[in-house]
Amino acid sequence: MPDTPHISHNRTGFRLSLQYSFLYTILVTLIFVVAFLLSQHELREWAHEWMWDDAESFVQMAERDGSDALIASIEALGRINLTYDRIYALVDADGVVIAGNAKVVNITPLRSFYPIEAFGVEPADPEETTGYWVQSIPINGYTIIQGTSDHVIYELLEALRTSLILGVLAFIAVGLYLGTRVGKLTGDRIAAISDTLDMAGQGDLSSRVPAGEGPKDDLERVGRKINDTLERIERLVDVQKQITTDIAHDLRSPLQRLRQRLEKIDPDTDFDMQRDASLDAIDEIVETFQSLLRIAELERGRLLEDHGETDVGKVLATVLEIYEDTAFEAGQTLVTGQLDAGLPAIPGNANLLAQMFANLIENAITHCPGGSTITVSAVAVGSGLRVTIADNGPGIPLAERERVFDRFYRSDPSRYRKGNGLGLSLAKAISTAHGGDLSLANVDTGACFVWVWPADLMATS
Amino acid sequence: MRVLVVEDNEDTADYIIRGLTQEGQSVDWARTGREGFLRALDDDFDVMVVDRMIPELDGLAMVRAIREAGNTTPVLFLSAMDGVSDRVDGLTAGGDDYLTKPFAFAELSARLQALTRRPTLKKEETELRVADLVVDLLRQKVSRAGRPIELQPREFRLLCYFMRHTERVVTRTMLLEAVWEFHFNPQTNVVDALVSRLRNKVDKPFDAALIHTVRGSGYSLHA
Repeated sequence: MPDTPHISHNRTGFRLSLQYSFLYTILVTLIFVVAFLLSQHELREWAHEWMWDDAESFVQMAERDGSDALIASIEALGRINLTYDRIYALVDADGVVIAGNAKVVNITPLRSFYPIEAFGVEPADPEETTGYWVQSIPINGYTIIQGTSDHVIYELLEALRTSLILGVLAFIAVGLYLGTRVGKLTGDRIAAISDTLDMAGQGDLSSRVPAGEGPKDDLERVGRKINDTLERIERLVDVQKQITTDIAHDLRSPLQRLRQRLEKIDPDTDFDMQRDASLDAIDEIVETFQSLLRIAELERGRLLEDHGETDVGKVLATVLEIYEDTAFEAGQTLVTGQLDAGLPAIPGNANLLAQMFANLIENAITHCPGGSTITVSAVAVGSGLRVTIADNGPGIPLAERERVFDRFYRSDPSRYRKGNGLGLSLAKAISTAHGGDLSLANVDTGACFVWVWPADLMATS
Repeated sequence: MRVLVVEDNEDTADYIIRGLTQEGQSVDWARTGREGFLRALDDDFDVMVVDRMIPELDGLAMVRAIREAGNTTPVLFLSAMDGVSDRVDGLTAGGDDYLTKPFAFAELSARLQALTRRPTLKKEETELRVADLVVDLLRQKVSRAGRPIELQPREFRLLCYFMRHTERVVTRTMLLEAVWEFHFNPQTNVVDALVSRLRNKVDKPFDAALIHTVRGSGYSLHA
């Protein structure tokens, strides 16, 4: 297992929420910039309108009450409004300030905005003021100059900035919290899957994604699929390992015997017999080898794709016909018990099924003494079928029953019997590849092999 | 009999050619699929032995091409491939028989003999006869020297196969495949048991044996 810790930055949930926060920040900032520019424009319009309204009042006052009243009024407004960041100045034709709060008026040519130095007065908050929006109108030979400071813009900006920062910070905090929570939920499960694959990649094919108590979602499905795949790979690798081991160990001794035979071969005595015996030994080795390969091929489970329907009854009847004389020669009786006429045809390979039945019957013939009876029956069970091959021979000891299908298993190692010890393993492999189940029934006398198809026949009927 | 051997392995080719030549056959050798294809179309052979794994054009493709060109010369595939469907693949591609390596030369020779027995266009076959042994195919009756012989259906089929391949060697696997149309490997001597029962009825009560054991290969029925 790799000891690299899974840092939270690598987790999808966390990364996604971070990305969302970032995008949100940019978007909100943009909105705030636009809002600021629009507000600034509006404020400026508003300030000018306000000043035009005032100017109209001044004009009316000058017409009604004369210039002195105008001067007094502006003087008063100037004193009051200095703290409110408004500039008033009544200037005569020579540019001299007659009334108002401005000390100097240096505004030629006239523009709509001037920096604070232009009026020689200190604004209420010089830090947050850059200048004044200005306008002027002529009245009774004088000029009234009005100005409004842009201090309010700073106030606006400050308010916007504060809410922007607070908003974004709050959003990021909430987003990260949720992202981490969600990320942790999925991240742990993804880390488990990743760890499992790492372990499998390093050769530990028994590792599995832990079956989660988590929700039955896509991740759970992925985990299950990975487990299924690993299961399959593990089985395939096991089959390959098994065949390598079998070939290495169990072909050595026959090869050794063959070697000894060939070394001792003497052209002058029984040459033909020795040569034939050697050739027979080679055939036996090849036979064993082919059985092993066939079992492996069947266990890899990729053979029954395009085989048609097979009439099991017909296959069985033929195999029985073939073996009747063999049993007779061995002093035994091969009996056809119940053989249902309406056995279902099953998808499968007739040659393989024949091999399976042949191996089971041969097994009985080989292990039963003369005088024994071997009874073969086949009955239809629902949409499936059950075939039994029973004999009244010595049977198989209880302790060995589990091992009869093992490769190279021989019930009686002390006595030599023909056969390579693969017959029942091959039969089992054929059965499984066809989706059937081959087992040894629990009987008191003799041995009884039962083949059912499909494998879950007994469970469903 | 003219035989074309398409095999790239020199040892195997030499083994086959030497054996067939000793039997008195005339043998041509092609080392690649391309060469085999050209030779097969150029010349008139009685039978071809084609390895499945040969360079330039593999055996299956070569035979398929020959068949598409209208050539019907019987083909026996030799192969190291013995998977469940390999045999079927070979026969589907246009092969007439399939033999897995390693094989005994006697088996190859017997199978080639069986393949070259071209189906003669004779009128409806009603009777098989070897010496005094007669099989009446219409009534499914067997008699020898005028005495009727009762046979089981399996024994009857076995005898018919022998009679149709008289004078030739038939191997145990050939019998199993031909008579029961199954291809599987028995561990016990099923065929010997069957033939022995047949002999008890056809040969034993009479003076001369017709079914002969051919050591190391199988059986042969002849007078």
